[in-house]
Amino acid sequence: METALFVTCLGDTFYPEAVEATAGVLGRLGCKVACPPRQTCCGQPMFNAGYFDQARSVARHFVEVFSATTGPIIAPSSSCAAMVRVHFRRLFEDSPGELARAEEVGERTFEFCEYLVKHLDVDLAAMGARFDGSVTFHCSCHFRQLGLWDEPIELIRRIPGVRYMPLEKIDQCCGFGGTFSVNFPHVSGRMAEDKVRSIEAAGADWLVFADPGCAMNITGYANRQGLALRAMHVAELVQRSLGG
Amino acid sequence: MENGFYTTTRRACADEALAHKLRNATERPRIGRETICGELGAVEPFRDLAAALRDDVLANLDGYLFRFADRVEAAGVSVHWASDARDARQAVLDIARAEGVRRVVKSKSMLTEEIDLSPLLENDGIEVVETDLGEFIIQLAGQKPSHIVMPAVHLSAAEVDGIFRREIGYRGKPEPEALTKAAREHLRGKFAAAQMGISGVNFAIADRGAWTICTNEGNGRYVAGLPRIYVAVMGLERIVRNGPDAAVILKLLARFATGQRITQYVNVVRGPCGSDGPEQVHLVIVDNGRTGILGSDKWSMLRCIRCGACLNVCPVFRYIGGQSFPGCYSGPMGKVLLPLQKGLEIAGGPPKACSLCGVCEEVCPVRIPLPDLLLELRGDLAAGGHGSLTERIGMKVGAWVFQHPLVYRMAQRVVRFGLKPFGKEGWIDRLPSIGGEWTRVKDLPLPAKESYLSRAARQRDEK
Repeated sequence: METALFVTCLGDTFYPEAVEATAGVLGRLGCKVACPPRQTCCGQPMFNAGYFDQARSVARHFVEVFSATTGPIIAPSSSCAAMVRVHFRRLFEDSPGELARAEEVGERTFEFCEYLVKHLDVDLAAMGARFDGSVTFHCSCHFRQLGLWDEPIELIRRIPGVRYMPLEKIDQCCGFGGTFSVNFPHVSGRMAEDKVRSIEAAGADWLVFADPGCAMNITGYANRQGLALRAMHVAELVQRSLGG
Repeated sequence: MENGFYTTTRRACADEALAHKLRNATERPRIGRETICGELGAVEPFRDLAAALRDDVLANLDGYLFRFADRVEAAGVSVHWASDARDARQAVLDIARAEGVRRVVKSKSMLTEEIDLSPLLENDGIEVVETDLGEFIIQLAGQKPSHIVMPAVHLSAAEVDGIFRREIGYRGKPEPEALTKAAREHLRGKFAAAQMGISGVNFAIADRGAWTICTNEGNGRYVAGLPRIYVAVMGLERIVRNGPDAAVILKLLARFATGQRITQYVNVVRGPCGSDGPEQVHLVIVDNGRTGILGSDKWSMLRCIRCGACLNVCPVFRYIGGQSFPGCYSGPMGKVLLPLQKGLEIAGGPPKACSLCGVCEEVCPVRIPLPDLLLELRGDLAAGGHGSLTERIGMKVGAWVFQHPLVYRMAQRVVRFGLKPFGKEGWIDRLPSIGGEWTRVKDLPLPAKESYLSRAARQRDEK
């Protein structure tokens, strides 16, 4: 199966190891992984701030780059996947030609866990996966927009040896929200505090996340509080379980 | 505009006790809603139906509204049309003056908060007494509601005790039951002495020419039934087509507001009936920006039935409460409604105070796409030049960089190089400018030594 890797700008800049793991796992699953070198960002920062013209320019570049790929486009981020799959429509609603191209790209854009569970239905046990440790998982808000819910947990549960420890209010926002986090830092901080408290209460060895944005926010808050929070992207967890 | 809201929210966030009270108060109805909605069997089709009913009304609003007004007029109700808040409060004052009213009792109504009714009556020397317990408390305290359904949710029993001692000479125990009893005793006399009762309207039933008042304390029926004159004030979008439609909406309202099957009292008013009840019944139908919203791309906000479910689930509301907002509405619905009614100059801050998590849309009984509306309002803010200079330049530069892959990769390196002096063990704890807003409360991870795409490019070159 041919796939295209949607690196995402935050993943690219702050969590290259998560992107690496995404590509690695897809490779282990027999996918051919192309990584379009001219990709940058999907335009979500501009879009969420209301700068639709600027977001449209960036989205246009994204569509141009990924139109040239074939097969599923996989992102290590629910938020970026939702931008492409759900919100590009709003940006191109007045331009039928561009809309069709954006929809073609959007329809084959998937979040990492979604693709592994819903589309590949991976059998990690059969592949000899194992991870000895306890993990908890923060479910990012954009799973909601993608119409997903327990795909990441399902994926985690498919790894033999993992002790999954549920997070209280698992789907409550961590307070990132892009420009929100710098426009209202005090509110964002309280929300991150809430999240970090429930992570501590879960008492797992690892926090597993699915979105680089949430990870920056949660670990950034924890670090300020002097808490050594061990966190990794869900793709890294799968990769480690496969001995990668 | 923004600075004011930034400041009020910042103050609220620093208030530990407020966070505690808001958490407790919003949690209860939230759990109640989740539990009791299960009883409807499939709640989703109910929500679809309710949204469709609201849309039908909004699409044919003039027809329903005039039919409703004709019927209530035929039943002996005096109908007054008010195009804005000023007209609306003046209409009520005129009725009071014409009848020589000196004492008024009110049941809880967000619309009367919206049009700022009580101060005008009080300036005229009229005594206005709120009879909903929560509203009574905040009236005594001289505050505005902190929640559209539970207006005194930000006050503890001890604080209410203090207010009652100071304002009505209360000398009992600082316990909710005793305080409620004291309020009830105090209010009985007010009901008996009032010459005019004022209520809002939950829903106006077009084909019956009747309207409903939903309360849990029974004060609505005293307000509507005891005084000589009764005035109802309604927003012009609060129409439902007929009785069965009203039943659908009422079922959802109570379930989504407080986790009840139905509010304790649902009074249906059809006008004066002669021998019993008020001699005069007036209905003030208020526009105050609603027809403007109806004609805009944000018309779906008018579906709102004011249940407050979005406030109870909002992770932002839990820390900023309702009193930090520049108006009586708050939470996700307030972030949309306030700028639509008051304009972006006054209420441009609230639409930005949202992480777009989407949980409000998930619980809205009439499926208002609140996050989409907030995004559109942000679009209006950006297009209207309301953003800060830093933001405007940042977005333009960012968009340009993201359209040029080589510049993007170079920019990553420049940013890392620029950030490095601030970093300690992979983290930055203090930054200037906009970054300083982040580092107020959190550390920022240093960008990776080499980005994924840069490394991929290097490896390609090396081959």
